[in-house]
Amino acid sequence: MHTTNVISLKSVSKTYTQGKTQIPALSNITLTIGGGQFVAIMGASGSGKSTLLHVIAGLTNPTSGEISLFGQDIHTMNDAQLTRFRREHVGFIFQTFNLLPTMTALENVALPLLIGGQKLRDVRPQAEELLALVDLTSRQNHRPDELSGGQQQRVAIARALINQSPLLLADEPTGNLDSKTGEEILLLMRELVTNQKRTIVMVTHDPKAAAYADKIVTLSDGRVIEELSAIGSLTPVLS
Amino acid sequence: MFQLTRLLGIRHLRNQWLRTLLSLMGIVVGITTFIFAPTIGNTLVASLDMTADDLAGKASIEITTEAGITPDQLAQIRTIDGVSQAVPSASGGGLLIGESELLAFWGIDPAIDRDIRAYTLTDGNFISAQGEALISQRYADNKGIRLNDTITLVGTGGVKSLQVVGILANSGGVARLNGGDIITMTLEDAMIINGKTGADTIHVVPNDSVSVTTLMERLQSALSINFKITQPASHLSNSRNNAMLLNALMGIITLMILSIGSFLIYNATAVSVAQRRGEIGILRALGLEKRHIRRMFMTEAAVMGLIGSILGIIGGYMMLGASGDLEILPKTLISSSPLQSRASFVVPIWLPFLTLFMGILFPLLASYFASKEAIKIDPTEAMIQIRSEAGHMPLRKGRLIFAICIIVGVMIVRFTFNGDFQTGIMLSNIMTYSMLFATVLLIAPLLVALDRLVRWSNQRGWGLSSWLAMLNLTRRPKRILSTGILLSIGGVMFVYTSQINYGFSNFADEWGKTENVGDLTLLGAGVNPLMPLVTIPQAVIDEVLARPDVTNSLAELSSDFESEGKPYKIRAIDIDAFTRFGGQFIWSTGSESGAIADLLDHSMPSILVNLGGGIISNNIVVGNTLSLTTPSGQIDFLIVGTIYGGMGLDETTLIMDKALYTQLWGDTRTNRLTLQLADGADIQTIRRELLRQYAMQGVVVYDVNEILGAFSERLTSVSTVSILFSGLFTIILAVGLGSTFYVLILDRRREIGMLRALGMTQGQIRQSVMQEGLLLFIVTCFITVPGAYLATSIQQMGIQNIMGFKFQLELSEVMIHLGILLILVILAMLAPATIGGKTNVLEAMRYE
Repeated sequence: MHTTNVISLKSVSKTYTQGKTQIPALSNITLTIGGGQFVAIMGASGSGKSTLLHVIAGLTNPTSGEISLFGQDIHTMNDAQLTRFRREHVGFIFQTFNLLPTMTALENVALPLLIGGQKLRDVRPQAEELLALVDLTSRQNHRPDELSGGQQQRVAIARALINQSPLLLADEPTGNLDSKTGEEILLLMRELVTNQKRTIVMVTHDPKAAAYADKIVTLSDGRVIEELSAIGSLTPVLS
Repeated sequence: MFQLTRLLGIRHLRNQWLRTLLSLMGIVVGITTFIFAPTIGNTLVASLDMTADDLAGKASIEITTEAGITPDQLAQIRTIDGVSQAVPSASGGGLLIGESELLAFWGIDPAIDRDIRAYTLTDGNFISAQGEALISQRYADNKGIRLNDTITLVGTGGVKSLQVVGILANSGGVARLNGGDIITMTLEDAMIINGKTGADTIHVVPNDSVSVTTLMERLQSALSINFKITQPASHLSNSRNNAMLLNALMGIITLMILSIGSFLIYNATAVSVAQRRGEIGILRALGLEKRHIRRMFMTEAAVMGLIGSILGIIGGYMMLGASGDLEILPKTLISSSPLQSRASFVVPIWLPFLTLFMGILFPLLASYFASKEAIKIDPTEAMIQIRSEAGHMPLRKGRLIFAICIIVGVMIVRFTFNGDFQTGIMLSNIMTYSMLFATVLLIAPLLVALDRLVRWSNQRGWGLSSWLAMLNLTRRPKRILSTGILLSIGGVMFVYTSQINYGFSNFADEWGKTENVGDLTLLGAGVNPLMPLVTIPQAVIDEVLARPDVTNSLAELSSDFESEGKPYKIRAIDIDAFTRFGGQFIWSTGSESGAIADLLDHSMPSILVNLGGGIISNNIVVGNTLSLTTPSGQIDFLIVGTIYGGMGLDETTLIMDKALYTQLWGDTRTNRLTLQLADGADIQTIRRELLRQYAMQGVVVYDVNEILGAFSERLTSVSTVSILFSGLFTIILAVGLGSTFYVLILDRRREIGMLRALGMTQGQIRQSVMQEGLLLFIVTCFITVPGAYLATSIQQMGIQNIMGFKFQLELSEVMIHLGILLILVILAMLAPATIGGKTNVLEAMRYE
């Protein structure tokens, strides 16, 4: 069904050092995620799910193991290469939205392209289109503090989409939203996978949110203890 | 509860050690200045008081007369009812054979002088007969003179050989006068060296039964009007007033520096409040009251204030210790009198306590206002909602209009002010603060204008870094305003002190090009080449002028005299020769060409007046006349101009044509003879030749460079203080800007982390932070620097009139100021920008 592997982790371990104590966050994880998949990573608090997401994003280097994204070994890249790689291939959706408070919704959406050196007037149509996609056309000139939590998260999703990133990484995207708004966001993400063939890796501890995914990877003490597939078809039943 | 808030506050200081350290540095520098600046002023005043004490001892009345007091007159004074003791003295300056520096001499009656003045012998005996002398331990050590050595002193009246019979301790009393460069001898010997027949001064100790005022009245009625009867400290009162003025100026500088320190605390607290929103929410939810939250922040500020003040006080004392040898109290600045005591730094007893109090109070006030936000925090909101702090810079039209009114008002005062200089200085202080206030009010409107520019420019594809920088400036009003205020205070004070520095160097250069004429100058020995005290013998003048290699000469006499109880200095210059030499005065007021013609026209006696402290007390105005008692009678002199270069806080120096002076005073002496040599003459060879020939007659010979060097040296002590202040400002401004921008970056760490996660490079982040600093610099400098020049101009005018220095800044120098400030901003921004660029994405995203 999913032809190529977008993400490939081979024996990845990550250990944090706190003083003289070594804290293992990930232990020997091997995982592959194909293109056009919606994958949920679940687990109890402290199980290593956020660390796994950060390792995939290249935000932190593994202590050992190999990580390949779109066929490129990111664990061998330096900071500048990783930064460029993230800019071109990865979109982020955070639990706390992380929009720039000084910018309007439209400017926030356009930000990744602006970082890439494009001009606002050139990317404005794209940003407007994406804001229309997340149903926020009327709020495009509002700043984050003038938007609700759900609206802010939709802006964040639009921002994650603007650079055509084939991979979206979402860290508890519905964690700060009420259940109704959370559902709207999850449906939007589902549509992105289904209709646009994007790959989404979402960290969540909410089984309802995980039910929107095609695959659920469960972690415990930094190890993958379970991989469940084809859950996405249960979405209508659960909702 | 107090224990908890204290614990939380102090623990936070420890956790945020870098921010704590940067805020502390601001306080330490402020407090160091708070100790240093008033002490300089205080020492200045103490030096003057000490001089009066050392000179008069137990006496409370001083009698002086120009002609000298004869033994008969002294006997008459002793018979006046109420006089317990009347002690004569004669003083002056001379040159020790083989030395070029002035040695003050002090002639006394050895039988009675110790009854009123202090002499502490470390070796030998007190003088008892003519031909004997005492010298200070310091002078003996410096010159390698030992007990029983014979030394020869050349004075205006003659030469005298004296045997050193005793060495005086350096501490206190007569041995402290003239910085210890003093020789004590009998009255008779002093009169020989002085060329006078009587004592200069009689110090009178009244009986217990009579008041000082009554006795003064009795003495005045018993003696002729030629006798001046005063209280010893009175003739120093002018210097004292001027020293107090300097004190006031330093106070302003000190308060400004302390304000900068407080802003650092304000910023640090404000950022701390923003960062600890969640923590405050939890504490509030757990039952901490608003006042406890405020107390927590105020405890932090108090601890920083206490530690910073203690370190600052130590720093202040260390700085004074390090400055001990700089002679911040120059003889030349305060008085031309050689008999001036040089005080050690005297830290007023109250100062460390006041400093400690201020050092805690200011941070407490700063944290009180900064913590206002903290007590408004809603506990539930703080815990569940992510902070999204941004706003628009408010454009309050009322404030804008108010600021414009202030500026217009200051301009009107500046360009119409015609009052006395002391009022001018006070007014200027008010203006400085007003301009600072206006600057602060103007920052917001300027940033609003910038915001509009942002909206226009972002459509045209400005670089992301500049755009982000502008967004941060215009949409974070509170932080940026406080940083802008900091930059404004710094800018004003930087301009203020730099202006003084430039004033000094420019003036010395200008003086060198205008008044410093001729090839060689012969001078009677004196304090330095600018203050000859010994007359050049006429025979020497005649011989020198007869030399074939001398083509032209310019004679001058500098002397002191009193008229109606007021002291004056006269520079009698051969004006015609001066103009022929190409000499020019550095003009302040009056028409230069007209004034020179007036000086040469003796039908209406005319004078120029050197700017200096005396010009204030004598209310000298060009066009008015000054009535002086001369040996030819009471003469009204027309004041035809004022010039720079007096450099005496307590002097009124009058310049007149030498021929006119000779005519009115009957005095033909010369103590400065400038020579123009024939083309091709070897100046240095002739100089050595003249020195060899005439040194034994108290004549020294300088070339133009040496005289310029001596002139510049006179400025050194003042500029040293000024440079120290500039240095302090540079440090505090750099620390202030650096720490403020650092906390601004801390404040947006999460944002920076997000930008890095989205693909912004370290370089782009660094660039954005740097541009933010530069843009703020441009905005604040745009109003601060011209404002500062305007506000301080009256002050500068006052200083230049008191000290006689000319302060005039060229446009190029203004640009240099701005350049220095810009470099300072760039340096201050480097560290925060680098730190911002290196922000660890994951850490930043977790940062709350």
